[in-house]
Amino acid sequence: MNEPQRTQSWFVPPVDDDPAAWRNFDRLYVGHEFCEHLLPTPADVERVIAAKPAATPLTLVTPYVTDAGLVRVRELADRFLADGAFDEWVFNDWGVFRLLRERWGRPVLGRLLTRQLRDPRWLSLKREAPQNHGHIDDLALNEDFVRFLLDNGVRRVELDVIPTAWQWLPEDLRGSMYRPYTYASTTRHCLTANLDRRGNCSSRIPAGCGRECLERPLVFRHEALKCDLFLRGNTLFFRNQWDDAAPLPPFIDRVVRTQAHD
Amino acid sequence: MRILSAVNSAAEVNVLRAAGADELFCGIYEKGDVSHGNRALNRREGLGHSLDGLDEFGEVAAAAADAGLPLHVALNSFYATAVLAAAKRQAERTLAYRPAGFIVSDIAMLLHLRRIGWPGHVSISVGGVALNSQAMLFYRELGADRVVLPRQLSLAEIAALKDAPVDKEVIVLESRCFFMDGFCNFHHTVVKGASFDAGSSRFLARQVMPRLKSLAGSRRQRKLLLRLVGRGPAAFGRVCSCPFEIAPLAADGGVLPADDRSRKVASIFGGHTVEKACGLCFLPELVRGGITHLKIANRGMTLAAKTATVRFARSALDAVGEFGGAAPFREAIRRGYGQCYQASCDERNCYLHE
Repeated sequence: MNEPQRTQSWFVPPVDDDPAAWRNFDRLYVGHEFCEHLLPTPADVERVIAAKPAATPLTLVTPYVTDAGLVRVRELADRFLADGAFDEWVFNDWGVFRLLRERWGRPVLGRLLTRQLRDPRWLSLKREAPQNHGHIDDLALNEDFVRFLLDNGVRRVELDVIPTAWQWLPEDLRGSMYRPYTYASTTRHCLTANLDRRGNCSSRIPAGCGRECLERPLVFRHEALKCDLFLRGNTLFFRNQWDDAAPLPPFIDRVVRTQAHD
Repeated sequence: MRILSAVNSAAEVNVLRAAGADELFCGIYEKGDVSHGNRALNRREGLGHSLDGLDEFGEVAAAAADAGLPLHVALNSFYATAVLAAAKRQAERTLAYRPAGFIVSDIAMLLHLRRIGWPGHVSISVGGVALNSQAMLFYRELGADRVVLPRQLSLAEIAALKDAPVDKEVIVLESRCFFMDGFCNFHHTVVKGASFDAGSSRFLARQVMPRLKSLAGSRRQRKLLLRLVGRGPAAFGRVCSCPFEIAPLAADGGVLPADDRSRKVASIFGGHTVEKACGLCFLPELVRGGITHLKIANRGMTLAAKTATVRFARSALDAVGEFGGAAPFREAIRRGYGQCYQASCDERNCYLHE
């Protein structure tokens, strides 16, 4: 798809990445959406700042967090939002939003809070039982909520590519589209971190993390889904099937390249 | 600490009260209600889980008032603009029946309730995903006075929220989710078009479907189910509980043969359960952690099942402090679990952990 008007962003993974590739992008996303254990350390951020092209702006991405995660987010914000290293920050947790909204940079509503339905069976559900799945293509950004966002300084929302019924959105709201991996679900019962435990520990919240999940993703297959799921960290992704199927609405002015199995 | 149970008809109110419920919650389904791919304006589908319009809600509200039980209404989906208007109308029409509170996820609904001057309780559903003290302050400032804690907090993380200035509700029995409720995008039906319990017939949704769903035990029962409705038990399952084949991903995007790691992940994931979950062993810790309400995730279940779990929770709550330590208390809870569910207590069913 030809998208000359859209800036391209690269999601810097929480492991070594090749800075040479960053030159192809207009913006770098640094952080994590799904796991507070995978937030970068200040040293990680320093390395990105040192290696990136000087003119490339940075976005700080924050996940949903416990109180312990809030401490880490605050540490990053105090250091890197305060000095302008990041000019915007993505929040996926209303606690993070409350913590940072009075500070610096531009808040961006993360894709966990934009409430698209992302089941990979989306199309077949709608086609085969429309009476049961009405409004499945809703983007739950209703007018009242959007007004709340704008009143609170949020001018950008992060979205996945699904064939959403794009409804009214105000002109001063911009959108970013994540490609090609859509997240389907996420858990704190981290399968990887629980591997060393005895017995079936599927209900445990791991206390610690050695970032073992970054080693290699796993593929989940089942005939009901008709596509593979990729477990990376604590989150299941799928490569969306609609990436090039429909034109993006004009308010999408940024594409964020995501990785599920690099 | 108070116990909340779902209620699915007026006839259930006094039974649940006698079993030990202190408060009740429900959803309402009116013909045509649909939100976010779901036949309802709340996060459960159709008449199997919700009351049949305002008439039945009025009956339940009257019975709850007579029984002295506060009744909360779930309007906890996320709404596009057109659907939000319908949800607002439903909220406003229920006010005549004097509910005690609303359970919401969408910030727009929370703001609306306070904007129209609603003076009662507003709880943030697990869909609102309030995992930390700042999120609780955020919701309180918008008008919420209670938060249902996401199911995926450890006891230590719950304890860290003790001083958050809202009432805190913890789900301790019945359906558990492997994924984060508020951030999970899977539909619960596996097979195409299999939203059987979304029916608009009270009889089908409440009498037939719960029994059909229970026919998944033996091979003979599964065959009967297949004959009756043309679909096997998988139709009533959840995609998050699928028996996935799990294997490592190769660097070139291909799939490698299963290794020890993927086999262990498969055994953990395949062994997880979502039903008959229980966290009552940790009631003393929840009391000390400032939890004010215990919720039982029993919407759409039979009255017998609801009664059993409410009675179990009540007996456990009454027993807190009666034992000389954690070990005997937990032993008593395990016995109670067996009586309640006719099954052995298992780590996979634990809602909470130390």
